Amino acid sequence: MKKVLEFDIRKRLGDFQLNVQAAIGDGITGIYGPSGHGKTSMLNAVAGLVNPDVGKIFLKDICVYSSNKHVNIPVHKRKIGYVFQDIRLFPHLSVAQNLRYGLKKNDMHSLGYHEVVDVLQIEHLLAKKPSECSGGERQRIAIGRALLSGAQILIMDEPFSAVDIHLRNTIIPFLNAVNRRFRIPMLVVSHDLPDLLSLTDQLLLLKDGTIKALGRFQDLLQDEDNIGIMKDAGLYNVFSLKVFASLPQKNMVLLSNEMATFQVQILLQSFLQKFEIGKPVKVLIRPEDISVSLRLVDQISLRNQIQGRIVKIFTRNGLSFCLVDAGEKVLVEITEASKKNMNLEIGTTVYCLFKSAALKIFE
Amino acid sequence: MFTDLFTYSAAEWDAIRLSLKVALLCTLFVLPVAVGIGWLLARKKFFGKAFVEGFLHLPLVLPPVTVGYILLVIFGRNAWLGAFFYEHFGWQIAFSFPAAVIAAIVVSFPLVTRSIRLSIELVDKNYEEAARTLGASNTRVFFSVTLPLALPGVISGAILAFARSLGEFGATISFAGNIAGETQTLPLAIFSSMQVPGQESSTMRLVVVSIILSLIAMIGAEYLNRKILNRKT
Repeated sequence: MKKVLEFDIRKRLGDFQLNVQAAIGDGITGIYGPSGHGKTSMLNAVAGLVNPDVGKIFLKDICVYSSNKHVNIPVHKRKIGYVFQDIRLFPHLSVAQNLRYGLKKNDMHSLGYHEVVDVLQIEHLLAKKPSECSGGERQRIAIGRALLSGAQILIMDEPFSAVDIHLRNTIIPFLNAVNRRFRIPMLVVSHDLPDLLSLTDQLLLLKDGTIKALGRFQDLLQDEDNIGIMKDAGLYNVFSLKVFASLPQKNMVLLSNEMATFQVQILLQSFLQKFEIGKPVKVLIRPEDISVSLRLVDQISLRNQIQGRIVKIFTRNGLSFCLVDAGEKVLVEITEASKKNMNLEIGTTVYCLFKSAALKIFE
Repeated sequence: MFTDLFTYSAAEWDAIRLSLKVALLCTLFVLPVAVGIGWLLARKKFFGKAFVEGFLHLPLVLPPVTVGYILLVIFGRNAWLGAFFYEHFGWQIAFSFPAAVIAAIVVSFPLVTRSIRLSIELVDKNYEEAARTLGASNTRVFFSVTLPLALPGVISGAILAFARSLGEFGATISFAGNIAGETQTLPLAIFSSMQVPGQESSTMRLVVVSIILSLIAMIGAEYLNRKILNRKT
């Protein structure tokens, strides 16, 4: 994967020390960390809103900051699109004027105005004032405005917190669409792990001002420390699957991973929109919503019983986890007692049991 | 006592015209400078800022006559700046029409700067930051974001300058004198006619005009302010 953004920066902020190094690739990267652990500070340094004490930042192989070489490209020339947590549309300008604010004539990198308006579905808002738009609409406008400023990378600070809790998921399809259509790398910051996972499985974990891990969520689960960081945020298993088949007589849909080694059944009603075979979906389930059994259980209402092999067992904050390789890595939370009773150890073959209704589906 | 309240003499018209001219010119000159200084005070930290602020606010608390006297000391024919202008350009500033404008500028400046500075301080810096991430230079940020968002303060500042100039008396009479047709603005004309017995009608006519002009300025300010507030929300 091509590296879009590379940085190695240090910055002291009172008692807090930010010390981050990373190379971030194309696509959507989720930045997770508890509140107050340096997420926004890191983004502000990358965007040039604050200067690091020492370090260097490269954006698409161009040095935009280097304390050694005394390079410091100012914010307005860095070509970083920043969608702020508090959105910040200009209140005295119309939606269209907001969108055109950063638009440069004759800039080859600029995206088409009409295309952006179309993808974000904000055509009907153009003549309005930002104050006349809803929270979700304002957010889409802010994304459009940042895209149209010729940004090479889009930074989004807590995009899920600006909208109503039950409207959160409405922004996700737009972010996916923007990433696919405009091929623009995105850094999305959130202190809410499930929200991030519904958008991407590429994660950067930040804690105490340092980067603890960067990689696919599935791979990060291998490390107990990472799980310790993510546990507080409501840990989820996340699977990127595709619609494999429909089972109309059972009112179910069968989802599968790329190699068809991992399959789950979900309720047909879980689909908000029309589904078709091959459509990509993200499936989330909490480790505490999964049970393990040593053999296949018949005479049970659970629809999902997936066979796998335990590859790891560990205890964290008084909770026991086992990581099961069932075609995809599945993290299961168990009690210490059942671990002992069932004699669970690495290599044991188990079945992961969960209700279809416990799955969260993101299209 | 008051005979004819609606027929204005040529001298009275002169005073009215002159007052408006002084007020308009003062507003025109004072505004850009006050915007610059107001922005500087609102957004920048520099050495001696407290002293500069105190100095700029001086005309607000000094008796206007004192301000006029100080101006005379600076711009009088034999004073250092006055002598310079007279020698090099042949301008005699004290006791002339420009002196009336200068007096109005000096006394209204702190009022305007204060109003503009406060409104710039109220502009959320986050908008300016957002504008910079969208590729706007500092100059563009100022003209496209800061100034429009501070516009209510700028407009009320302009109205304040206009109204303060209309009412200016002390500094004008001591620095520009009371020369009919050249420096005799409305307040000076009212003062002069008060000194002459039998001029009650003339005094009253000028007072009425004064009140009407001030009212128009204030209502205009209110109207513009509402319009801007409506536009913003």
